[in-house]
Amino acid sequence: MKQSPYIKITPRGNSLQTAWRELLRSGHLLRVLVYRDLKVRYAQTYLGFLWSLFQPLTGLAVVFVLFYKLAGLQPEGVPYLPFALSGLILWNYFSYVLAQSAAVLINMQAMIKKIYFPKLSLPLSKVLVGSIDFGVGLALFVGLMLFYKLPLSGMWVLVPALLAMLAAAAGLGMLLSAISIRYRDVQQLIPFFTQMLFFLTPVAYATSLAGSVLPANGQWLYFLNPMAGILNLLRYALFDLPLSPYFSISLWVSFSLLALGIVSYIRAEKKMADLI
Amino acid sequence: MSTAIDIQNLSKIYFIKEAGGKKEFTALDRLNLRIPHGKVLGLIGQNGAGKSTLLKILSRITYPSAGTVEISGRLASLLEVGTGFHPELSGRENVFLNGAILGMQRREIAARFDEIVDFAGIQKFIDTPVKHYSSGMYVRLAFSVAAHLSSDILLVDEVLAVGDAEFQRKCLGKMDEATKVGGRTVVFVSHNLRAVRDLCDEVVWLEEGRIKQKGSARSVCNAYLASLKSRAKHVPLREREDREGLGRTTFHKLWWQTPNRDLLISGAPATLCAQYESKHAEPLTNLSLRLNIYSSEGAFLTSLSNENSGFNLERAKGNGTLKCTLEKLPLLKGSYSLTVNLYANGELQDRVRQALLFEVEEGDFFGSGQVKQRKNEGIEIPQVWASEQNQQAT
Repeated sequence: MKQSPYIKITPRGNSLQTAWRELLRSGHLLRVLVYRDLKVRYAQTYLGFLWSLFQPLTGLAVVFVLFYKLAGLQPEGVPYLPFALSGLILWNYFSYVLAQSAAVLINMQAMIKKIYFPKLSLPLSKVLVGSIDFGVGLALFVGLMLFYKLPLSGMWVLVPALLAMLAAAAGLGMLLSAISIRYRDVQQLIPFFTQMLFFLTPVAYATSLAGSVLPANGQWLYFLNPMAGILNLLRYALFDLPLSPYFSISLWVSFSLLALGIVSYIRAEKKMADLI
Repeated sequence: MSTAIDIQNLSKIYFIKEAGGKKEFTALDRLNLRIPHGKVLGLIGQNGAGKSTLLKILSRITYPSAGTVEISGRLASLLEVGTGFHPELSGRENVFLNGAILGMQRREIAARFDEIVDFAGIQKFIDTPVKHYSSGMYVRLAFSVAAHLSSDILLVDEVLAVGDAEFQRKCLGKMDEATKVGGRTVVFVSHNLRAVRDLCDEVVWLEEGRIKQKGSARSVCNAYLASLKSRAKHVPLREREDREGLGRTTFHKLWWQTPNRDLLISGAPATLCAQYESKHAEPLTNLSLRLNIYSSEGAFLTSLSNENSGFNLERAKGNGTLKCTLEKLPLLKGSYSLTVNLYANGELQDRVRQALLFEVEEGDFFGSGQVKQRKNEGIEIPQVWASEQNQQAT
């Protein structure tokens, strides 16, 4: 016989363990949330799924013209297009997950006020939705690598790079989501902040370029931006570009952001229905 | 019997931000309540008595300020139907979406899918995006998903106030079936005392966050009704504080006018007068006044509505009196209560439940000269009888 579930409600709210256990059991809910996002996204669009291809391609065209043709930022010994695309697809995924999970509590408030469900499933569903676009971008990237006859042996790096990137994006997103319950201003800041971060991150240029601007004893500061170290690692494995000794700072920052994000998100969840 | 829900010393305090700082509001005050498995418990009480707060805590939408609740069994709560419905998705997709949000597994929804669609009666439109549904269809589908939830404990808040009367009855039937056959525990919050009495084994009457009375459905509902009536009798309408709505225009007095020394007689003419007062300089536009008549047991009988009878109230400013004349009062002998609802442009301005209590005397509604005593309160309908005999060949 199935053991009947037991819940104890106290003023303390959900513990981390409860939140985690419930997230593990929310497989079907996750699937449905992802399906809903995808379906709604392409509903009544003419190009439909092709938009997923359109975004990395236009992004690539823009950075190609701006950074390569106009600014002439050529990474040493690497063809520019696959170099830039590798950064772009990871960056796009990062900014999508960040923006979506930062807005998740406010966007879903109608549901949150009326029904109990494992709320960690909301940012997680955004991670899954974003993976579709990332997959399309990745296919494009592999195509480019083959076209330029570059080795694919460094692809293993995607596993740690993706994990760290998602930890940073979802972590920061959840943290901002929790703050924006009280201060909606945060929602106004996010697009602006993301845009600034794009220029500070070595997406369209090599990490060494940023390094050449900073003094020798301040190099590590640059890697407080989680995406800086992640992209540095990515390019090291894929194109054999130099790896900064400070890249691991970014990984530490990423996973600290995740921990901080989860804790503040679960705390916010408790007060949410009374505040929103 | 084992305990499904055990509530101990439960308190909830809200902090309301005001111009001068924070104000405390105690929604629940050290509440203790034990609900055994398989019981259907009704929660009644005025607005602000703590019913909804209690349901919200039980459904884990909000957390208590003090005290604990222990719940054993799978719990599903229905504080609103159609939570998470998305207009762009089809009926079929929304059933799966909504079911998942309410905590059902995919195979459970799949197994009951046909039953859900049948119950809602929208087979033909199941693959149409719900944005093309009428509001009635939407609500029926949403409720149907909820009604087919599989859980040991079900929390229901007033959702039955939606949908047409026939569908409401169907839903009540479904809930009744679920509790009798399925042995489910149900906590049911409603203003519909008739439904509460029909469905619940036990009723808890909440007042100011505390249990005022607890016991059999009949006795508690009767005590609650009596208290409402005494309020209606002893507190003049203009001083009533248990109002809902924006309150830009409120009703100050309600009374019947009849040619027979203000005695209401079944079948005789009667005029209902409603005096209103506006606080706002801006006139209200597009008014809809609904006066709902209930039996003494709280069952809805009919309503007097300017909108439905085709009398347009474009604007109201300042003070005045609205009059609604019934040429033949169609009510049987008995006691009735009246709830007043005023909407302006679809926004609720004023609602007072049990705003007026009145008695109707025996009368000859049909003018037939024959008046048979009848026990219940109810409505007379003009009717014509005929008898046709089949000619038999001999």
